[in-house]
Amino acid sequence: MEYRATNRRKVAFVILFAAIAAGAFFLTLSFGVYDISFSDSIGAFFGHLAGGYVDPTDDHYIWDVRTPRAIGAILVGAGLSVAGVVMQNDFKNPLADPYTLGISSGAFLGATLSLVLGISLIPALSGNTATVVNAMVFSLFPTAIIILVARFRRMTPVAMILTGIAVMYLFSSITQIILVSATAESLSDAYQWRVGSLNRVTWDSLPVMLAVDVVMILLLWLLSGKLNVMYAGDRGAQTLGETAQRIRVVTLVMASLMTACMVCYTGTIGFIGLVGPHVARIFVGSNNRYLIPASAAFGAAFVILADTVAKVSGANGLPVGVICSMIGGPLFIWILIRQRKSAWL
Amino acid sequence: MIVAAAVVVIVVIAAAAAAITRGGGDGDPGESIASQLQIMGNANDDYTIDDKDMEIVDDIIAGTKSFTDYPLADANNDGKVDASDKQLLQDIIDRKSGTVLRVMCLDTSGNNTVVDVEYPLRNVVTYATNMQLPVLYANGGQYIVGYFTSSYEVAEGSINPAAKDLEGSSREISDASWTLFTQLDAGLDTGVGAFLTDYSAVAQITASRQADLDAAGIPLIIYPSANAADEITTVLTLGFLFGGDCESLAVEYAQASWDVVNAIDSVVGDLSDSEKTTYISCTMWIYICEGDSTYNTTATDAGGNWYGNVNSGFGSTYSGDGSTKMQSVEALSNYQDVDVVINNRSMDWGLTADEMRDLIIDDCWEKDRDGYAVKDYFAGLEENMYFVNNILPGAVKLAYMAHILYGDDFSMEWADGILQQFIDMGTAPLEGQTVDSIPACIDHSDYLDAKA
Amino acid sequence: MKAEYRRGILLKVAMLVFSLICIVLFVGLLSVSNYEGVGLMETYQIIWNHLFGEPYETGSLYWWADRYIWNTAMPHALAAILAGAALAVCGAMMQSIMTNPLADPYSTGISSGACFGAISAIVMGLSFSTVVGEMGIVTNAFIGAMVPALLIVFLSQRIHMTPATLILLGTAVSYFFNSMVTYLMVTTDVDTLQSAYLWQIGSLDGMTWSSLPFMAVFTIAGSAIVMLMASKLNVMSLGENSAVSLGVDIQSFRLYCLILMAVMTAAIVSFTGILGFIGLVAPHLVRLVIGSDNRFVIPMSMAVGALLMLVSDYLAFQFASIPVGVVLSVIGSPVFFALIVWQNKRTGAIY
Repeated sequence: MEYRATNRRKVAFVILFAAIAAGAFFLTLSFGVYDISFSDSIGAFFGHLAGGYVDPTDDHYIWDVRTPRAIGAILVGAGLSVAGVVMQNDFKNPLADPYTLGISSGAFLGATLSLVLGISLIPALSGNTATVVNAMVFSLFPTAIIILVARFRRMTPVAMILTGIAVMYLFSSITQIILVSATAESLSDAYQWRVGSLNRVTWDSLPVMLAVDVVMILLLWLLSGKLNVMYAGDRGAQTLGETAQRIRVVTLVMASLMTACMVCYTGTIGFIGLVGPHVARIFVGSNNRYLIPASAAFGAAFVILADTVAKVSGANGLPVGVICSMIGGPLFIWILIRQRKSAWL
Repeated sequence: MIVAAAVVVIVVIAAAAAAITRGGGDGDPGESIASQLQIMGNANDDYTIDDKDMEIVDDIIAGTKSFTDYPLADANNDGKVDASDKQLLQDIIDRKSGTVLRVMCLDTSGNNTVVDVEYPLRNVVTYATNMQLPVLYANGGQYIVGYFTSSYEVAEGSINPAAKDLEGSSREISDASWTLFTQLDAGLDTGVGAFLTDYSAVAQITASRQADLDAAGIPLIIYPSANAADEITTVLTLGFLFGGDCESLAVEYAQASWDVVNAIDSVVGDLSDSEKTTYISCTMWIYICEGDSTYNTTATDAGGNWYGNVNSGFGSTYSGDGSTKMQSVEALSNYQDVDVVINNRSMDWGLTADEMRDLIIDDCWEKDRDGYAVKDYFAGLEENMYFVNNILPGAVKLAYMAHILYGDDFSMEWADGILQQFIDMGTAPLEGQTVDSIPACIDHSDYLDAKA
Repeated sequence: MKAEYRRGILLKVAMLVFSLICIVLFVGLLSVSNYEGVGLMETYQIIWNHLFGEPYETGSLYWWADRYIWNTAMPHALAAILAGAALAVCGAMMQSIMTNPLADPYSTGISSGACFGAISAIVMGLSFSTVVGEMGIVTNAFIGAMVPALLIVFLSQRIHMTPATLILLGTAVSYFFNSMVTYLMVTTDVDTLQSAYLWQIGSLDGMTWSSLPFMAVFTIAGSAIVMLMASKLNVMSLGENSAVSLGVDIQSFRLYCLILMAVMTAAIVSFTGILGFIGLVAPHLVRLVIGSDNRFVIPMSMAVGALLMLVSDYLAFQFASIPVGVVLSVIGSPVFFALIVWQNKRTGAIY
């Protein structure tokens, strides 16, 4: 009976987080450089959906610019948070997140190749598409290297995380070599990319983000039972059984793919994979069945609100990546202290 | 730094104002070129050094004129006007080789200074596009022995082919590049004649490099020639220093330039600020030029009223002397009542029709910036947005800007005519070009035509 | 037994002498630059002549070479020596007190903190203290470096700081500070961005004589103190339990060491920017050859660190004058990778 009650509470929290995200979505539509009131922005949004008349300028900024950006924020927040849940679970380490695995440095290298040298992995592509594809492909390398190394040398989860960091260093050193030769213009582009921002998200980028996000989150949610088993397994053991090992590889690849998909459109927005899961965990506990949807919803709300702050901060405003790291950095320390008794570390 | 920049801006504006007010008063066409030959001994402050300057010096020595009215009469820059100035001035008038001229320019902190340059100026080393092009416009490419960067194949094609590429970048002179430069100096019998750079690139002349130049006796000549009006005097002065055909070309260049300035002034001069066309100036596609930046002041010289003067929100957001990247496509959304947007772009020329089309579409209007095409950043302003080629002669830029700002008074044909005039003048970077092969001013209809 | 001991001493002396000879060689090589007709021997000759001979004719090749060597190459090379030595000492010390083979000022985020402090002083004119000028930059850098350092001390009192936790913490701290630095830079104009970039990867370009005394004082004094503590460091590297049983007050000792390290790192970083991995590579290289007795590892690491920095700088110069930080991370990141993947007992891996 009590068990059912707690579960109902967890579901309630998931719904609450989702409601917050939805509220934030409508709120953020009225924020930006273009002056428009809250009611006008809502009017323009639903007006466009309903096919009624909307002032063309309002329509342009609300529907063509802010709506995809807000949807992008939801997808990024949800995707990166779920990726964080999976990685923390797989590595049994509360500090693991998509970026400590070097995924972002891989993406940055791919993007730099395209932004600075104009190299595209798929020759037919150019411009933004090439940047996106490059970033996506390169961001899969670090995970591949970790899995490969782990295959040849039986590694503890901790050693795998450290391998990720090493790969991150390796990739950034290559990126540095490229950036040295960059012109001021492309260097600035590359930097902008690295700080992370949702400016780049347009309607064109949404189909891919949406498809990958929805499919991966659903699949991971379906696997949550297996993830729970792995989390609850013998923590003292250096390595996992064969099946668990396979699940780890599979979920890791899925999480990386999802991260790659987000990061290639937004650049590096750090710490979301920590913030979402950890806040959600406080409310719904560690059961992945609830944790995955809860952190997806909370992560989405968090990124939308952070992006709203970014938009409010003006023409020279803070990029959303900086806001996230301002919040995420201290949170990281707090997690470290809070986990002191835990066997996680 | 800010103080220095302010000093530069004040100097620039004062110089331009002085020039404009002085122009057009006299029947002699030469007279309309105000002072601006930045060389001591140019006592009457005109476009050259000749017998008229000698007369003034004679008068000052005789006591009939006052030195304080003619500060430039002090040819040897020793603080007094005497027989030694007369002797030097005579050498200058005779254009005698080996004469040491006192050239006025800026120092690394933006203050006025005077450096010694041996006439005729040879073996120069250039740094920064905004100085390199004035040198080339004065047909001085033949006297360049080394350059730190050359970004425009056709426009900068007249650099002496034997000149040494010193391997800098548009942003940086590395220690290794500086070593190449010093090695170049060591290898020349007479050494490097002068180091020429634009004020905007002055950060690369560090204290130790300045000390190197001083110790080796290489004059460092700095002009703020990113500004169109200052570019005119830069070309004039450099042409004089190179001597021979360069001098006559530079005089013609400056004359034509000041004619443009005067033509603009005759229309715009009487307008009050509220009557003037407002503009926003951009660079690198989506960077908004701040109030005191040279690109911005150039458009003011062309008769525009900076939008920041009428919209205080814009004015305070974009104050300063640099540029700010637009953080989103909404950046200009609240400023839709601006009259025109002038987008400064550096574009090489010598283009075929196909290349021109690609440039207009892929490198201007639809250039990808952070996931959006450039035109998306100017939504609602497309009809009033113009790309102006930044590496053209300053007066040509002013002419196109005047057309953009006051299309009724200055037709496109008129501006094209100015460009044609500069092409016909025989200045090397424009050699063999036509109005069609040079991307000078690209507007929205050009874009629509190119798309069709 | 005695013969083995003598062989050990011989090995140490040989390595030290080898390093010193190489340092002198590379100071020369760095000074050679690309003046045609001025080779290595001529370079030493010019240096000798500058000290004891007549000046050369103005504007001549040797005159320029002399100016280059004295005004650019020598301060550059000396800065490389100081930075290499100081960072290597910091790395060796940190690895001992944290009993963590991966620790160095870079991987623990201390350099990033210093960099943020220095940049905020330079870009915004913002000072955390009332001191201004060069000293203000260094003070800011020191305060910035102290943030991660104190965090490490604070956290290691509360949690069991495993190597992985420390490195994760370092990565997070670096990410945090780097995003701040990047933000400070992105809001300024494009040219400032270039210099920010150089700061973040570290460069020795533009060093002058005037910055050397500062670096030298902190490096020499700091290293001397570390050397005096060498045997205590040995006890620390045995692990906390052994250290406690041998009467070392771990917490306060760790705090002193980290403060010292923050000062030394700040003094270097505020002139050069973040130079990564030297504190990782040099001590490990030394330990591979002569074992892990800190009484020898510290001075040897200084010599090897200085040498490594000079070699990297030379390579950087040869390859189209890229900043030295790039070469360091190209060399260092595979070493970091290898230390994790091929952990062995000698380097003391414990994860």
